[in-house]
Amino acid sequence: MLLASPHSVRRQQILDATFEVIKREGIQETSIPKITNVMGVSKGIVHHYFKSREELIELSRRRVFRLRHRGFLARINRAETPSDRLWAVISLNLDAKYLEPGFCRAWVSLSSQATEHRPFARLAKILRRRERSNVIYALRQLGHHTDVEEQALGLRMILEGMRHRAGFMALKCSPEVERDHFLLYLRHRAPKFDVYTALTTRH
Amino acid sequence: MRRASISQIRRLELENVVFELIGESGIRGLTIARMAQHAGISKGIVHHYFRNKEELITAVVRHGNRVYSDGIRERLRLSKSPSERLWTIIYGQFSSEVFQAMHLQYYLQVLETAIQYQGILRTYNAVNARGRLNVAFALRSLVEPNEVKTTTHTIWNLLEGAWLLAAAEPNLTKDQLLTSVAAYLKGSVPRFDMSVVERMPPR
Repeated sequence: MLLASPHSVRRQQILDATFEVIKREGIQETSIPKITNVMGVSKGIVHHYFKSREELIELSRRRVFRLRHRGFLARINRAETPSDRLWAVISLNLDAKYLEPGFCRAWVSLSSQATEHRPFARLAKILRRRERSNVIYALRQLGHHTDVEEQALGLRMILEGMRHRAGFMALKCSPEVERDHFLLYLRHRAPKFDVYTALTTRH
Repeated sequence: MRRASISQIRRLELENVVFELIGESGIRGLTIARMAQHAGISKGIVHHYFRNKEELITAVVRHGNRVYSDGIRERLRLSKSPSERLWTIIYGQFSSEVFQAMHLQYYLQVLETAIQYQGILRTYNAVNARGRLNVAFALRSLVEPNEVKTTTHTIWNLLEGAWLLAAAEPNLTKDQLLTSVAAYLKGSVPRFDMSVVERMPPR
């Protein structure tokens, strides 16, 4: 096994610290001094590894979403039935790591910045398209054929709404409660989905 | 009716000016100085009504809500059934005065600034809670008492999710979004009278 070099470990630490600041304050407010404050290191170190604030934010966001995608692949690879596949997409969004205030706020901040910054917009678009096609594929495999597009839209609306709640509403609820609401929703909107899948899957 | 005081009238006027101003400079470009320049009054007067940027953005939240409430008031007054009330509340969020490309961007930007400013988040939550209360009230005679909370939860997730998705994916139409909400009501709120949707069709 190849050991990670100190150089790359340091880079990753800085990228992780950057995302911590984004979660707490939003992209607009994220600055190099705030990042070095979190890490307790000098500003010079960050400049040694990264060209600019923009590069830092961009790479940190990529790292987070790469890890998130890995989580998705692990889920989808274990999926055996169409219900498993649909649940792989949904349960990733319900993961306590991703359904917590910080991540959900960062998510909205990214969406907001995406309207002004091209690279953000491109990645956001790819993510959304991928999620959408995964949902549609799983629904078709489940045997839903009419109005699949509309069903997928409804599911994605709920996923976004959950993040809105976790990030911004005073009345929060746990991922488990959110999951139960989702299952009730699926019972009517995707009747062929096997609820047992969701209740027995362990991640 | 009690007459509004001069100061109340003035505040309302200024809140309208805030809304005009963000059309030019966006939420982030909102400052007391720009505000004074735009309204042709002294900074001191603006400062008397809005102490800082946070209060200016809070005014945007209130103004947005007022546009929404004014839009549905008459229809709510005339509505004859709980189904009609419920659909009016939902439909109002997608009316042509409210659901505009610019407003979707403001929505994202307000949320983004709320990450940092607690005062904005508080006002946003107060407005939000009133909206949910209205939904819950209309639902009381449409679902069993123990289902009101759950159904309100899901409707609210769908509505906020619709706004977040629409802000990120400009090709989504309000027609598609409303259709998804209606499909949920059809499946999960059996006493919901679908004919009101036909009378207030998605388009």
